Amino acid sequence: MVELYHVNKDYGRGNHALVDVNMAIEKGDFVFLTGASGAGKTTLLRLLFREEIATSGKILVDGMNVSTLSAFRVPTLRRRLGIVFQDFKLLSRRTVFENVAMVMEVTGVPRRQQRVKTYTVLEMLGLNHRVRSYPLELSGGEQQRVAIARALVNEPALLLADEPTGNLDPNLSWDIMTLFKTINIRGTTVLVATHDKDLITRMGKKVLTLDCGRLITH
Amino acid sequence: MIRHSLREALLSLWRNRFMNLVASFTIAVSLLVLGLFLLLAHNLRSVVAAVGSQVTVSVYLRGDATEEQRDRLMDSLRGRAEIEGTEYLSPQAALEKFQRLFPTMREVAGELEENPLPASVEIRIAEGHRDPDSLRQLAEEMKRLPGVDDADFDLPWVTRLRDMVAMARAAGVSLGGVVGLAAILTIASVIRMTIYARQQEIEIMRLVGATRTYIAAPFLLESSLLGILGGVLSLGALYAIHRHLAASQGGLVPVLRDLLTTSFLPRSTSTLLLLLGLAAGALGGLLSLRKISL
Repeated sequence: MVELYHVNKDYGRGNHALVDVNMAIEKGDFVFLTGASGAGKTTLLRLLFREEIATSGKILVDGMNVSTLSAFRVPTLRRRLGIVFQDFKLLSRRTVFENVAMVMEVTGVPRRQQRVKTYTVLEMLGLNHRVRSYPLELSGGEQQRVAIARALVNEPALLLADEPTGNLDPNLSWDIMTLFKTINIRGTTVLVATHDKDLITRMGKKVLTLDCGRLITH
Repeated sequence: MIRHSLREALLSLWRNRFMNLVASFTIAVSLLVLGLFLLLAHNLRSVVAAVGSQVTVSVYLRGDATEEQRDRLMDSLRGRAEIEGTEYLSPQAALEKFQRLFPTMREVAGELEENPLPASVEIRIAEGHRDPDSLRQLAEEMKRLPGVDDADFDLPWVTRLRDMVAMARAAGVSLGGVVGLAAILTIASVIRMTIYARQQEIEIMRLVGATRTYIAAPFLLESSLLGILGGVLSLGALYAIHRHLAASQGGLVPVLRDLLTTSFLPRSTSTLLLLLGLAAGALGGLLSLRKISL
């Protein structure tokens, strides 16, 4: 699902964010990406959804060669991914429903189908009573569940999460992780970047560790 | 997609209505400047057209010219494309015309023992041949004919009028162009502000796989609508000025007032103003989108 070959990312002036990273994530895997702050976790994720371009090396995501992808094709890549951020990135002026349905609106899915899929995913995440609420009326955990609903509604092949529990307390964090596990069991490949060691230990999943831009365990 | 763009554009127009109105006004002002000069040029041109039909070459016959020579002259003028018509003026007819044109000189003419005016042929020149070169050429040709004393033409002030039309247009285009440029930049910065205000939304749309077109279309539509609004405002203002001047007395130099009130812009020119507004708006939109990563 994800393959990296000799990937380097430099920000110039000797700032090497990633150094010769080689890795592979199989379809259906659940993988944690960990490491101290500044180790390159976020950079690596941003390379995968083509928010940034590797200085050198080859990156394959769901069969697409991200390193040579033209700007024109980037939306195609992103429609196959679900992305979750630490700060949720919800639109505060839109309701929960609109925040989730927006993903399909953007890709031209018919209205009726949008409604059905949005309600289904919100119900799955236990948010059906929050459909008409605005993000700021929700708790942090609920907001993150909306963000996850948004990431899932298009049934992505790969779910990328960057510190998804960074703003949540331990109990809520565990809920979110359980959710990810369920999503993974349903067939979505999951890659979670986090520095929460306890969480990783409790989950007992495959772990990739970055240290100063180098991958040290496989 | 179209519904989405339209809804977003209208929503945004309403949210920033004050700034948007300012932007539309700048477009309207530039188009109004251009429109005023185009209106001047339009009415000047109808004056030129009216005056142009009076462009003639006068051929003066010698006192001793024979009837045969005169007939030959008239024959040579028949059926030529550059000639709209001819009129023979006998010395007697010329005198009458002189007396009609200059009534105060009537008595002077009456006191003369002999009619000093020669017989002449007035050649009215067809449109498309009323340029100095053609006229000069025809006059020279006439002079060479037997029995012809002289030939001349009166053109300078017609060409001067025509130059004025061209000048009014050029002034409109260059003045309007300068103000128009300012208008485009204003639209660009207004739209750019809108884009910055919605940066977060744009970022999220990009992340969930919205295409550039999908994201950019509402902004482009918004700026184009602003441009059209500017065009409509300018046409409205121009028409109001046109009507107001027509109804009022004085205030302006009479000639200038006549040139602004005789008739309004033809539909094609009005449409052009609207289209220019649209183009300015769209250009401003493109300019604002150019530097921003979508």
